[in-house]
Amino acid sequence: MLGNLRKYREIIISVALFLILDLSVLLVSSITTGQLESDAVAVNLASRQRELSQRIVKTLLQIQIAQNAGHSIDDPQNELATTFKIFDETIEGLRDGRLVTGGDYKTVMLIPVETDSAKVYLERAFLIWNPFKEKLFRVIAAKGTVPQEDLQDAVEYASNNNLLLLDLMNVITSEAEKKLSDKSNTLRTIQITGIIAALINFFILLFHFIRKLRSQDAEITRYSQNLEKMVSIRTRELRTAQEQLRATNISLEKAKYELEILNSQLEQKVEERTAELKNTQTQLIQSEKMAALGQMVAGLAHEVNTPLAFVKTNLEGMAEFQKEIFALIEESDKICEALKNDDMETLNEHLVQLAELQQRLKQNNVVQDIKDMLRESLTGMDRIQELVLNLKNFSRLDEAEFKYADIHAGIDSTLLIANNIIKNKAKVIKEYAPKLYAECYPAQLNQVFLNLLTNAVQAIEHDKGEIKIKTSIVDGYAVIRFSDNGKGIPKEHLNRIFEPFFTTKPVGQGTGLGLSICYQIIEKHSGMIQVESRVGVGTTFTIKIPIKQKRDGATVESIRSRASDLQMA
Amino acid sequence: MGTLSNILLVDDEPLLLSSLSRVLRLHYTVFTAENGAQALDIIQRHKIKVIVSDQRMPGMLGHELLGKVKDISPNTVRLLLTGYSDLDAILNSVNAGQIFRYINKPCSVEKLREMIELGVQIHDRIVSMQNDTKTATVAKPVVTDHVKSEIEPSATLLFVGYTPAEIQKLTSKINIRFNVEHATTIDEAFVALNRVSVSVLISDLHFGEHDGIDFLNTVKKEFPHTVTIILTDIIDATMAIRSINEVQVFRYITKPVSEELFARAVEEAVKKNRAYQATPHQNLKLTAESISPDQAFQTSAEKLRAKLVAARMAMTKSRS
Repeated sequence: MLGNLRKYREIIISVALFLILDLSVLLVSSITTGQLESDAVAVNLASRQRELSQRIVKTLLQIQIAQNAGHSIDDPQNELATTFKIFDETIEGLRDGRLVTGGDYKTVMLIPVETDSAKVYLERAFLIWNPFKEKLFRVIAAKGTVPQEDLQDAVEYASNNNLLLLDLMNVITSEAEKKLSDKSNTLRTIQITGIIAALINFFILLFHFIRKLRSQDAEITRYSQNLEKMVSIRTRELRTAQEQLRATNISLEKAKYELEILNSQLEQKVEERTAELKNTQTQLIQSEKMAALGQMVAGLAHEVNTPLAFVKTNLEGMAEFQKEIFALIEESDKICEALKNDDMETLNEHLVQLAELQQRLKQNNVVQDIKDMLRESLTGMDRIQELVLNLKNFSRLDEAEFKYADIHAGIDSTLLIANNIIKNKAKVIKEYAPKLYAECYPAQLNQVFLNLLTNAVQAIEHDKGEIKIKTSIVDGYAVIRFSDNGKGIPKEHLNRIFEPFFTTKPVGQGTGLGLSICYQIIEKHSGMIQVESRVGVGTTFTIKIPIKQKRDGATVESIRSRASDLQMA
Repeated sequence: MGTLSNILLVDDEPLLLSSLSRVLRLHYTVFTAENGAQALDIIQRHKIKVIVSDQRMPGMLGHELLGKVKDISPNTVRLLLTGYSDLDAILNSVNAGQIFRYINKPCSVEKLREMIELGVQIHDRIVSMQNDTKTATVAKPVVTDHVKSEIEPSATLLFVGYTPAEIQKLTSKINIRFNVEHATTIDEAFVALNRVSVSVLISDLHFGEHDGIDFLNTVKKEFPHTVTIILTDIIDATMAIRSINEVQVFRYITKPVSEELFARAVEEAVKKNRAYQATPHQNLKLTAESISPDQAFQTSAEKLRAKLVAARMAMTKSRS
């Protein structure tokens, strides 16, 4: 609003100025015009006074003539009275300003004369008029006939002063005319000035408007140019956006297409991955088996190494004794020879040497030693034989895979295999049932036993280790329990230990597959494996397998096939 | 024949003990123990010159037992029977200086007797030298490493078979008084060994056609006081055992090693070198010189020896 006001201020001021100017010109004009009218009346009436003064003289003369001729003087007398009245009120009006009878007998307002000279002339006119007025009044007031002397007096005064009065009236008239002319000049000047001012104002306004319009035009042009620019920018942007959109569209299309391809490939990939995974799993199971095998072989090597060491030592020892025994035999031969030849000298000589040899052998306890060496060596060889046999029993390579087997024999052969790791760490306590046979894959069960025994040994971190193996028959199931007094398994691990790859050992040691393989093997025997443990007290693994597998052929067949899967793995 | 030397055999297999006793009985008074505890009991009650222990035994492992024996009876020479299956234990015992020799199982009676005899000789030598030192210098205390290091502040280290960057990293924490020499090949190493007196030799085991242990053995023969540190990425029980049996290596360090740990090992090796120079009888290698190495080794070592001689001659020539 304020802005608008400011915006229109110039216009408002201009218009106000214009109006004020025009109005003032109009006002001045109208005032001046009014004055001019009055002045015109004054000029007219002043000029009429000359005629009136002439008529007064004329009517006086007419009255004189008529009276002289004896005629009625009424008409000239009336005319004189009227003329006198008009002249008198006019001259008074010129001095004081009053309503007088105009030229056409209408009443008009006469204003007094203004100029000093006019006033002086008017005073002089009154000095002439006032005595004339009285003389005339007597003429007018006479009834029927005017006294001659009055008439004469009036005519004489008239003829004496009429010209003077006439001149005065002339001067006043010209004064009034001059004033009128001055005023009309002033009016013209004012009007012209007003018009010029109005024109100037108009031009200023015009100029101002033009300028404003022009600047507005410029602004509009600029704005429109800006607009154009913006529009073009926006257009470009829009075009770019459009192109991008198109590109996006295309890439979306492409992505969609690729997605479709991927989708179509996904199934294939899933299959491939599954195969890979199976392969990896197979490899892992294989590596677990290799690790177990390596451990077993190392243990076995150590087991064989010990009897081998003392058998070898004994043989080396015997090889040393061999020289002395051979010497003894040689001497004996020589003695026999000497006896045959009856060579007593030689006989004696060799008998002495034989006695020496015998003495030395006895002293060195050779005979007893040889006995011991042979006995101990045979023991050693027996042990090696036993180990080899056990290895055979453990692996059961020469037996039917699925058979009715002695579980105790399996545990015992496993214990022998694992002896080297157990003997340093724990005492084994067996609590066997009188007899325990079950339908099973003995080699696989032995693998389970070895795993459980290894775990038990690893759990024992003190030198009072004990591993208890208890077997029993419960409801047609062979039940085998392995208990250790090791560190135990924390509760949070207990329900995860059969998960594949779960291990608490450092990376690189143990695949975390051992117990999961055990679980699979037992499951394939339609059995179950359970664990109980208390931290710091020990752990017990319980295996249950049916003594007789269900005779329904399908089951056995499925066990067989699953077991062979495992074997292959 | 006089009194027989006392030796102690430790094994958890009684039949092995009895078989060994029988073949050694004529030459030594043989004590036997079936476990570590029994062995320590015997060590405390009898003067045992040589102890031969199996590594794998219930209760106490062989290297643990020998570590304890070292404390109880430091002059007893310690031999370990091992089946090559206890790598960590072997490396640890090498670096703890617990073992004089490793013996592979099974071992021939002849070899075992040879080892035991060498052990007995070393024992006797050490004891007699200790007695000499005691009688000769009653008033003067044995020169300590501490005093020695103040008198002789500098030592030369020779690195063989490492890149300059590796050496720079390794030597970043070592004593700044030590001079560092380096050689990339065995020939360069021989030249350096002839040029300056090397206190500590730090060597890898990779040398192309030449066996690292043979190289170190050759050096040891010529410069018996030079202390050897093996720093290698070869983690191998056979190498570790040979490094002890043939070179009497001071430390067998496997890469990567922290600079601090290495600096400490070097510091200790320098001390050892000074101790050898002060009291040569402490140097078992010198004492053990009489033992003949394997035939195969000899031919290979001969070549190296020839190289060394050539290097020495070249050196002499250039000097004259």
